Amino acid sequence: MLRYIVRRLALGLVVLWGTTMVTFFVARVVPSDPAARWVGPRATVEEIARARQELGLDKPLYVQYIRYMSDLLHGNWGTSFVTHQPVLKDIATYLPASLELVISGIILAIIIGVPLGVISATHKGGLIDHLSRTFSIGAVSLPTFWMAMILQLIFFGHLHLLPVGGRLDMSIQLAYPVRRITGSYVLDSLLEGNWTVFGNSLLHLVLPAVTLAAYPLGLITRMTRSSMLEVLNEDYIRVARAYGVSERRITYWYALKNAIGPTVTVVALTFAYSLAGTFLIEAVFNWPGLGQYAANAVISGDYPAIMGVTILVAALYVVLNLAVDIVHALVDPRIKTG
Amino acid sequence: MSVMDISSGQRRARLAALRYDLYLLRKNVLSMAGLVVVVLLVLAAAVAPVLAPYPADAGTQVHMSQQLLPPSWAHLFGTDEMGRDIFSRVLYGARISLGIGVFTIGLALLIGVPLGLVAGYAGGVVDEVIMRVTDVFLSFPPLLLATAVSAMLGPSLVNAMIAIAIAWWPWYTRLIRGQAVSLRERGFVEAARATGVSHLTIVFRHILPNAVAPVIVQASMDFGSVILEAASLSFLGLGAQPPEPEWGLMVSLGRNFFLTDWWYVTFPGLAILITVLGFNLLGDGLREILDPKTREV
Amino acid sequence: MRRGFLLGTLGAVIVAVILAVAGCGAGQSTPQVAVYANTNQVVVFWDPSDSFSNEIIVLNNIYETLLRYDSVQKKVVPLLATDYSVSPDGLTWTFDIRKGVKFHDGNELTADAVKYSFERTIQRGKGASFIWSPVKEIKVLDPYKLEIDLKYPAPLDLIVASGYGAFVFDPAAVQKNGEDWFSQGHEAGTGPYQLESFQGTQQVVLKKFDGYWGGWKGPHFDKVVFQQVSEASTKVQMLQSGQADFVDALPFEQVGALKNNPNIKIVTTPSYQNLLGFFNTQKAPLNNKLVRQAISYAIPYDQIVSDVMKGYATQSKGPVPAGLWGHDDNLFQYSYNLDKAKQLLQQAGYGKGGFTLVLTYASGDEFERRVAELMKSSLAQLNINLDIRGMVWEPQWDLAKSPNPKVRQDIFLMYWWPTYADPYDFMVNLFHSESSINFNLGYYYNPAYDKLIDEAHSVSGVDREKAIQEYAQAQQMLVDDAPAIFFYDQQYVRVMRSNFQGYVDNPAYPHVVFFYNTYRQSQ
Repeated sequence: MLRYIVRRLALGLVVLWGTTMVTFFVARVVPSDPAARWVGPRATVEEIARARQELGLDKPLYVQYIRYMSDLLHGNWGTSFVTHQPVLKDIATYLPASLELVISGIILAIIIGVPLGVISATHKGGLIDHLSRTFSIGAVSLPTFWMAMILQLIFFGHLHLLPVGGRLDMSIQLAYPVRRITGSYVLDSLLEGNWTVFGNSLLHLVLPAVTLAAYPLGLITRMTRSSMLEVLNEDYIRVARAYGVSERRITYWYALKNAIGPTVTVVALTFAYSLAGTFLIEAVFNWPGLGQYAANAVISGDYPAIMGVTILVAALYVVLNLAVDIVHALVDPRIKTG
Repeated sequence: MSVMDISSGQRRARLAALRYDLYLLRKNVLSMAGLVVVVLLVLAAAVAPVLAPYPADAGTQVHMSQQLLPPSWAHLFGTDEMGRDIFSRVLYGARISLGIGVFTIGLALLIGVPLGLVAGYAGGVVDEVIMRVTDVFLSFPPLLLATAVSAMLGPSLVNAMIAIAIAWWPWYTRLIRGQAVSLRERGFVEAARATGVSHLTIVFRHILPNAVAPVIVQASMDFGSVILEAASLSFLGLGAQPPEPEWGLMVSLGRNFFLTDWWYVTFPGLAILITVLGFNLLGDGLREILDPKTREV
Repeated sequence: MRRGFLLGTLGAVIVAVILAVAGCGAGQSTPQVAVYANTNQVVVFWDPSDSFSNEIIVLNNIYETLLRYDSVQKKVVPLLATDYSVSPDGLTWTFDIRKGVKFHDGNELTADAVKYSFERTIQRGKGASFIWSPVKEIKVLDPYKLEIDLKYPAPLDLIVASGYGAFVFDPAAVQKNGEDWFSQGHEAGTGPYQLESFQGTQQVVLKKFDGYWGGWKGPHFDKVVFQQVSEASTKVQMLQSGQADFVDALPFEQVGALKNNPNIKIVTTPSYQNLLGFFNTQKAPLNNKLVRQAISYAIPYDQIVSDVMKGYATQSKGPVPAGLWGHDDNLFQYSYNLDKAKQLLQQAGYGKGGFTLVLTYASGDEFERRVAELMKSSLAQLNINLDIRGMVWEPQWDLAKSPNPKVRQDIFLMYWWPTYADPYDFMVNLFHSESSINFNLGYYYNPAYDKLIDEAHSVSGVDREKAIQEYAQAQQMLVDDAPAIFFYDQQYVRVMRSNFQGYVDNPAYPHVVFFYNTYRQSQ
């Protein structure tokens, strides 16, 4: 067991190291002249030369890489070309908004997706099963950017029920300042008992969270259904049934407990992807999160910011992947631990 | 028994299995619906010039006097801000979307399959290195990686397709490597190796044909996702360029009007949804049929 | 159980929404706050010496310049300088510095501080510091008298009124806190508002500075919020609900939808901003003047003005926009004439067309995109294929500056507006030959033109009439050589709440609202 964990850890580190190589390549080798980008428009040749020296771009590539890695490990992730702030500081600014959105979206997806998958499996081949399968496939087929606009069109444009974008009404934000505790307006206002902000931020969260939930919802429903189908055929379920355990208890306790593994994996990996991968949703809803920061960085060639966000997300992905594998290995003795 | 005999025997058995699969597919309502959508889509793409009332609107033609007309019999889906018929453009968009699917998946297969074969067949250090590289690529959010690559290459539909393929190939590498590993130890491969056939021949003549089936199935199921991803890149301005009638681009341009002129984003977006849904339903049915665990007997 | 579970979830959501809606009803009295919703990042560079972008909308409320250009009266008016004089040769300028002005940290404004500010900006050499290039020496005559000597005559009154790179700040703040202090998000200005807080590049909150020299009599705003809102629909929502007092721009379709709302007023004002399309004059076939002229004839100008700009623009006459001094109303204008275009192409040996031109524009800019599509449609009739590429500024500009001339674009769409109110800004930046490529993105090279505009610039401080004449001559050269398409001079369409009063658009400071002059009319 220990050997397995150590091996997985080592592989995770290798992959992380690989991502730094890729991002370094993208950031330092591809752009035509990072130094010219750094000093901005109307720079003189001397200024560019000075910037090149300052940024260490006059050194050979491997020296640059070593310097880059050492900076990275010392918490210096460079300075964004666009915001001219340290990348880590930018990430700290934008991450909480994304976390708020992604977590609420995924919670929504779990609350609906798991029961739907279970019902689908217990009614395999029936009408409910067909409907839920169409629903889950439809959810992963939706162009999120389009769904976002259609929701805005209905709930803002026609029904005037929900705001079109942003995290908080400007007037409320100014009149009721929220102390930053977690960075999530919903949580912070709840902790402070600031009901006006709580209500308003919740209203703003509804449409983006629903849009974000669509894709994981489809995956979770599908995963839950197929692993439930597998488990429900197992001997111990038949045994439980033979002992007269109630069907509900069998489904939601014995079967679901054993079928939930793959769903957990899906949730964990979707979570990592969503943090910076849902920039389309953040863009349409004007949600100032990490995804929008990353997309802007990519589009405007802000290489230090691209590197920072990518390494963060890749690290999260690797760590979550590792955690899921290890938990599985601990829980499920069938996994080979060689 | 020679290798040839195995193949022809297998072929007959496979044909029978295929017939059975088709029977299962017909029985599966949802997959049939998906199949119908896909067939209709291909048809629409093929006869777009005949079906479209204003074929020139998919090209360079503009009619500035007919800006943003709501849907009517003359313009089933209304017109856009340059006065072009959205219905005609959506029809022509089917061609682009199908083209995107074929090109992108083809390219991803071209990169992913040989790497997977080599990794699976060679094993050892080569395997380890190739698989860690795929791990690295898989640890980036796919859309972010595709966006970064396509921003690097410059905005155009071809570059966007290349970018998606670069984010996509590791899946095929993983899949085919698994197949190759299990085939490596099989009798006919060992026999070929013993008779001194070169590694290259073994990989491409013996392992590839026997490993490729699940990859082909997976690839055909990926059509929907790839089309969706390309539409997303176009929505960001990194894919198709105006005035191409690409659906994602049309939704992106319609974004300025969606609250006042609902039809502009609605129809191209629906086209994306229906197409992707069609491919995914079909793919889901295929998966059910081919997966022995859920296969109904 | 299953039903109960779903019902429970639904119930929780409903309760949450009711709570939320109920919460919105509560209110309390607040200070007067103005909100400006802007499309772009609000502030990137906090350093008043370096900033050369959208941050001027914020910084012009925090910092002040010696003079300000009044676009209505077309002359400079006093600000931190109460008066100024210039020697007959135009080389020596003397400014009287206003007494009793305090920086936000309480220090007093003196001529020394002004000298320090300008010299720091020159020495850092970033952003708009190039505006000071005519300056030879800055001398302090007494604590409230400053002399600036020039290398050659130049309109220094306009330069010190620049919205970029001419701010005065407190030297003590820099000396105490170090050179990077500004960049970290601090300020030390004399303006009516001081920095309260900011969030990333997206939001800045200013509060009034009690010690402002102009005083706070009469109605004013206590706080000003600058918020980045890229989405047009979000801006509309903010305007409608009164969450924003002012927005910088909206798509014309959205403007039309707001016209009948009594709570919203729409103000159109002339601007110094125009749209140009630079021809790559160094690459075939556009290195041929006849081809450039032919394409200039193939632009549907009227359609662009009426259908793309909805009438909020006029076709340009040369590079200097209408309303700015130096604009020549008698200059030749190309018109839409495909026959003429065909004829010119024939003459140039490209009668059959059959070539492709690559056009780059700023992706996301709807006006440029529609102009490009109209061009494509029109050029298709000449059998010329236009390959349109929407790009973000940095890659678009990088491509234009590519060391390999072969890969550069053929046509580059770009807006221009002056750093300070001077036609030379257009003439020199866009068409003067450059040793390294900056904004002359048609790579135009004409020594006679260079000489003419440099001379005009050097006399414009003392003999503006002569300068105007020479600028007109230079513009004639440009129109004849056609290194660029001169599409249109645009108007700014500002949308604001009806009760937002006191706003006067000043195209010399594009998109800037001087909030000190504005107030909310009580209802």
